[in-house]
Amino acid sequence: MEHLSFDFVRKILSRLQAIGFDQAEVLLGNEHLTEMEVDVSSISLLRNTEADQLVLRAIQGGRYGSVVVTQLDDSRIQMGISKLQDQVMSAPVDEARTFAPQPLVAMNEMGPLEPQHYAMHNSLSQFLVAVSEAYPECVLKQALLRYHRGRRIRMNTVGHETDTTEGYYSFGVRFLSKRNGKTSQIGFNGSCSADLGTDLIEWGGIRRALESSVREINLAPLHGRFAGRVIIAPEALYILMGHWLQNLKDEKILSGVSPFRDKLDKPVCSPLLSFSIEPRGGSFARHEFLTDEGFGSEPSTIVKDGILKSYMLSDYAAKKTGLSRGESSGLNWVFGAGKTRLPEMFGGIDKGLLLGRISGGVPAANGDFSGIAKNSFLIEGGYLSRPISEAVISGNIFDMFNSVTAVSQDRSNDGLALIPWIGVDGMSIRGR
Amino acid sequence: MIDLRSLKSEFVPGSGPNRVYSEIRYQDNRETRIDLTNGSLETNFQESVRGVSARSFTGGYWGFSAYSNPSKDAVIAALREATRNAKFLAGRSEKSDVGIAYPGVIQFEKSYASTKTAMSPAIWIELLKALDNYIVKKYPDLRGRRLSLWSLEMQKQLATSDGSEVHTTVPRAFFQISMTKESKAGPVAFSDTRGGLGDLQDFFLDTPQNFEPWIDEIYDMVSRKADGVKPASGVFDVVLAPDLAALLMHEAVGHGVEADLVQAGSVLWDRLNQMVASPLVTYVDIAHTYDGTPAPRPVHVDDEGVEATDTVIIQKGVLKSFLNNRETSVHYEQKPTGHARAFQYSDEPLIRMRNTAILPGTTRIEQMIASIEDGYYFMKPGRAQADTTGEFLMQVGTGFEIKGGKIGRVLRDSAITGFALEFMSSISMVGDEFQWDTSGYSCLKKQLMPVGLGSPALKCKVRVSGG
Repeated sequence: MEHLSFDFVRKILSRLQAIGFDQAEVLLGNEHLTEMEVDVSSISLLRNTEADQLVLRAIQGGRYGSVVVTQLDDSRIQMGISKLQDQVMSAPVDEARTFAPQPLVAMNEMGPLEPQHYAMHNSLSQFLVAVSEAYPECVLKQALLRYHRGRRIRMNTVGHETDTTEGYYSFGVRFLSKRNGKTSQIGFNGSCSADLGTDLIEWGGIRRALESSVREINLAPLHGRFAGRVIIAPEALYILMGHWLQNLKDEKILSGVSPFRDKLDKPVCSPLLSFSIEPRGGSFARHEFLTDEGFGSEPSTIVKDGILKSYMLSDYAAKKTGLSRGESSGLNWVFGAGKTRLPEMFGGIDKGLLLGRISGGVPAANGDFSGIAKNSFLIEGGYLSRPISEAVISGNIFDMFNSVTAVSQDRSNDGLALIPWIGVDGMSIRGR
Repeated sequence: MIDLRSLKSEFVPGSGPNRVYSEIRYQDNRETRIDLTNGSLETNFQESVRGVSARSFTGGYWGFSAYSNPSKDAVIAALREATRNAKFLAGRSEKSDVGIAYPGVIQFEKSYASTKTAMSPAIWIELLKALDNYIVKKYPDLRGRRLSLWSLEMQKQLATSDGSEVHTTVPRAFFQISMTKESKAGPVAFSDTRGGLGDLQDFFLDTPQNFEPWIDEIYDMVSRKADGVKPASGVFDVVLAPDLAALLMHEAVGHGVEADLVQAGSVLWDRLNQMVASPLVTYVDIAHTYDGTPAPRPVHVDDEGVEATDTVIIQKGVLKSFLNNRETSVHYEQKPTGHARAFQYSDEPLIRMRNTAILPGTTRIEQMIASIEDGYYFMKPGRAQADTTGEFLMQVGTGFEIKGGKIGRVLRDSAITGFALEFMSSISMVGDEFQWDTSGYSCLKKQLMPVGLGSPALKCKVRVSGG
């Protein structure tokens, strides 16, 4: 670990400067992972990994190159530098590449810095007991309790010197429920936390998902087709919103596919929706101090009352398009809370769907998508009536986020996102 | 490279209930990626992810440890830590099912590395720029274009405590061209990919002019798709092109026979030696060689040091075997045939498919199309998902109507859904021309993993999700 120092990074940067690059940058990362895995209801694996990564970047005459080295002996670093020279020489001139200046905060250290093996084992064992006692019909297929620690030292020739470290825990479970030969669909849930002080079953939406799994045992195929209101649960909304947000990011903006290219300060979705990024938000387990390119990460409003307030572009894509750079790389989503209590959202729905999870692909270029409704319930007469299978939900993702009827007061926090339930109209739901 | 043989004395196998099985691995994943998006060099990187790892098994528990700076000292440290991790778990609770298979010792060395000289990134960037210029000049009505080259060479060296020693190098390389065009119903996209086993210089070291017919084909398809129609919804007779059939079988059926997912409740868990598909279907996970030539992702020995042999999953419609690792082969009393694979040095081996293939039948694709009065010919797969119930959804990027036994209008993006068992039972014709997929598919199951996918065209029934 002695190589994880400013001195080590500074020496490499000096070598890049000595070559004569106009600008250069060195990013040294170290990732530690400790993982305990439950495989079919019993703990089966303890795994730890330690990985270094050295990223060398340089610009000369507007030509940019980037090389990754994962072995930090002198000969490998020299090979990396030689490859970087080749890359820079071969790259086309592109004045949009620059390096980030020194941010306001240079040093940061957050979260637990070492894994607690005994505490992890105890938490996982207690979780297995808690599930078997509270939900005896639930069968855990896999559970992963992980401790992560990442440290990054970045230094460049425009004065940037930062050193950030953060540790946190993550937990993910996959399960189903069985009774009298009947089986629910597979369910997933997961969350993150800065410590193990809370029982794992209470993390994020895990208990809610386990309870839902037991209720799903009596599922039956949906028959026929209808167009109705869909209440989208946080887990499904996270996926669907992720697809929608791609249209504010580099690839879709650069390639010209995004419909939002000229929509800054214009409506892009329902006025009921507000969405922001809080990279260092206190409600979350993980924090982003710097963007992927090294700029200081700051909170930002992406959508306010349906109006697009900022894109989520890298500095490179921003310069290529003339749009503004995103204030962060997008960690920690915050959906604005609505005014409707969750039970009230079901009221008035003659026939609709509570969408627990969606299994499917990415929307087509024009936003059309379809997916199988998983962990989902039919809504009839204003109430949840029964769990359903074989239901395909389809629509257009841009139309869907323009057709929001309600946003719940309640929000689920899985350690990475604070997300409500939303109601949308106009979706096609097709059964067997 | 590290001489792992010199470290075999570090294994501490023990005996009886204290027996420890261990494996040590050195791995180097060398990756190149170049993306030219609307003329901008969006990505240009070369990466070598190298490291060492060790895994140990004792008392029914696994321990694993990995370090990114490969050295003999790092191997020794990883081995000790992996064993300590397994003993940590074993010391906290006992397990009744504690066995793994010891199928025999193998020494093996094989390299598929290119014999041609590797080109610098400059050569590839110049090629992409030349092709991009061609597209811009000839097809100015396109809204977006993306040209991507990527390659991944995996070099692995393995030694196990029961004596196996393995050294393999397997590269693969691909070239994808994507185009987006405006239509009345918004933008439509189409992409095509070429490549396979080998390195970039094995496939794409050619003059720009020789790629132009391929570019013209892609433009033609995206243009026809822009004027395409949505398919109707409902259950239809369809013909699935080889690429699409192969991916659908992988997602909906192949995962369902991976023994770890079988233990987790796959729909096929209690179907061994039962009819699960049409008798026309024989489905095999090819280890390394098909019809005398290397499969797209050849595996001769897996990452547990087990010799890889072909696994017949379904024979004439009957489910014959699951895909096992050393541990599940004991549980299911089946011979391990080399399915445990790890993506990076820091990953533990998981049960993975290698080169899954439906073996060819006797029907020409023209006969299949001619036999359908009202249905579809689905060609290009998009993303596909299936769960352990076998319920699947597959996006379809390209297809055609079939009306009166003839190919009709081009389709816009659509999707097909169904259940694995119903889909396999509905297969009524199997094509006579087998093809390996060339899309460069990597499967995600905790880790990514390059896999090979092969099939002839199939005629079957699926539920179509159209407009």
